[in-house]
Amino acid sequence: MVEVDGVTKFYGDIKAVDSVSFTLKQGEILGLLGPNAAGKTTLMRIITGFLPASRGAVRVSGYDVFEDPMQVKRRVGYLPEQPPVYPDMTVRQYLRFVAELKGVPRRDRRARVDEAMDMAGLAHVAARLIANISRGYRQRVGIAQAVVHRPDVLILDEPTVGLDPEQIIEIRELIKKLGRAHTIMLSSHILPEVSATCDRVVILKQGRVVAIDTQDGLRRHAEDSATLKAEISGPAKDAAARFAAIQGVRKVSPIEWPGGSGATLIVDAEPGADVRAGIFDCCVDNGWKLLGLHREQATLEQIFLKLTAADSAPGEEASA
Amino acid sequence: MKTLAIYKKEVLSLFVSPIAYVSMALFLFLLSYLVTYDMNTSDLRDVFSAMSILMIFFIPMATMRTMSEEMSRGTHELLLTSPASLASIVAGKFLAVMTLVIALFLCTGQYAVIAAMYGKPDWMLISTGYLGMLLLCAQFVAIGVFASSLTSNQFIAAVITFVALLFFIAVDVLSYIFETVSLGSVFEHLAVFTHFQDFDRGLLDLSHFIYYFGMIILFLFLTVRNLETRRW
Repeated sequence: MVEVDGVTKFYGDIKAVDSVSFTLKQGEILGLLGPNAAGKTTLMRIITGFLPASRGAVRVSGYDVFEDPMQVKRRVGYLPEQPPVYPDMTVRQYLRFVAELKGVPRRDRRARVDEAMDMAGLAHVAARLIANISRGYRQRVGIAQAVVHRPDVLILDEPTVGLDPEQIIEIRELIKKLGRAHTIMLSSHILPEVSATCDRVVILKQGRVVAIDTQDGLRRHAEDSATLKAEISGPAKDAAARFAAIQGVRKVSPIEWPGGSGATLIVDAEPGADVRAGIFDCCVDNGWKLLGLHREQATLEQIFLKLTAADSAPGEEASA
Repeated sequence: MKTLAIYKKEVLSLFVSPIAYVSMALFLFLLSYLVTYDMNTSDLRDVFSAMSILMIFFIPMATMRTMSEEMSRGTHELLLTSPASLASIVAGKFLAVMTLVIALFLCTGQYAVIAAMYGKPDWMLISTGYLGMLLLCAQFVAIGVFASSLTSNQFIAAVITFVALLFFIAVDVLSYIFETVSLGSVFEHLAVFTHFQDFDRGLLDLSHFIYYFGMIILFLFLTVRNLETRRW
């Protein structure tokens, strides 16, 4: 559906995107993840034909964005980071304008605008000026704008940025709903965002792809070191030293509770080693009470940090 | 053609905002003030000369937002990722501001009515005068749209337009300095009023049409080129 092939973009001397390649399959929701200034927006702008690439090619449904920009633009719906709305128009006026601009035939326009408003839950604000609706609703207008011409592919740049938690959940639901009928690519620097909605993740750092995988695959990558969290009532330093002596334990970081009533110990075990029984026995032997012990499921956050840190400083991981 | 979509949207936002009405009212007030002391003939020549001066202030206000506002609001991302060519976008915006100018012209029709009440105006002369005025304003608007595409700051766009219009008006002053040199006639031909005068006298000369249409197309073309290169 979308093929990104060796795309590189220079801004003057600065390389914003560096030989990025991946494909977006039909019906898929792909997350583009990376810290700020990783090149996510630049890449999306290249795919939508807003910016030309310095090198490389992008094809949407087989059309090259540089050679056939009009064909690509007809097939892509784009929500920039800032929803591109005109505050002096009503929601309906605006969507009618966008439908006309994107070449929806006159006879279908009303139906398409109604369809987009229904889908985005905008029917009850149709007659309001965009200046007078909330940030969350503006974002929905931005999404309605992107789907009004029934594009094959939706490109959403940070669709939930700047929204309150309730609005974020609503927009996520909306994206999932859209995912049933569209192929979607969305960007985010917030991990829960991507893990809540996407099938696959492309991780970008400094313009380069550091990982492409399904969420499960990424998580499996990170499970080569199991981290345990133990809460005990006992002396923090002493416990840390004893735990470190247990076979299979690589590293222990103690955090003493205020008042000295106990401690939380982060235990980093070797891959494949189950040290839980060892920790339990150690507590019993020393007369400490084990208040809690659980395995930390590696979150996308940790995977992300690991992947991006490994990329910038290869020596760092070995010492950790 | 997507020009119509852009045109309708622009006209809507022009006439929905109070700025259009306030600046039109101000224009007509100042025009009436200037003309009251000066209108001695029934051919509206005094009206046209006052209008052409006031246009130097009115046109920058009318054109400053055309492109700048899209860029500062980020809505140019919508326009440039839509299946609409840059030329059709620029044309739609140009025609929308021209609609405002024509609305203003209709308001100045009162002077023709007054002239008809108290004298026997030469309608042909008035018609050619309006035609010349329309072409002159179209050139000014094209310059204003171009200036607006240079910056996302509306105020700067207005200032650039104002300075550019002053240049095209005052450039014939240079022709006096270079009177003996052939350069002098170049400057004279660049100046807008050189070409307007004949319309004001009721003369329709092809060379003037070429000048105005050439200038309009030049500046609209520069706008398209500029929007294209800004992306690189």
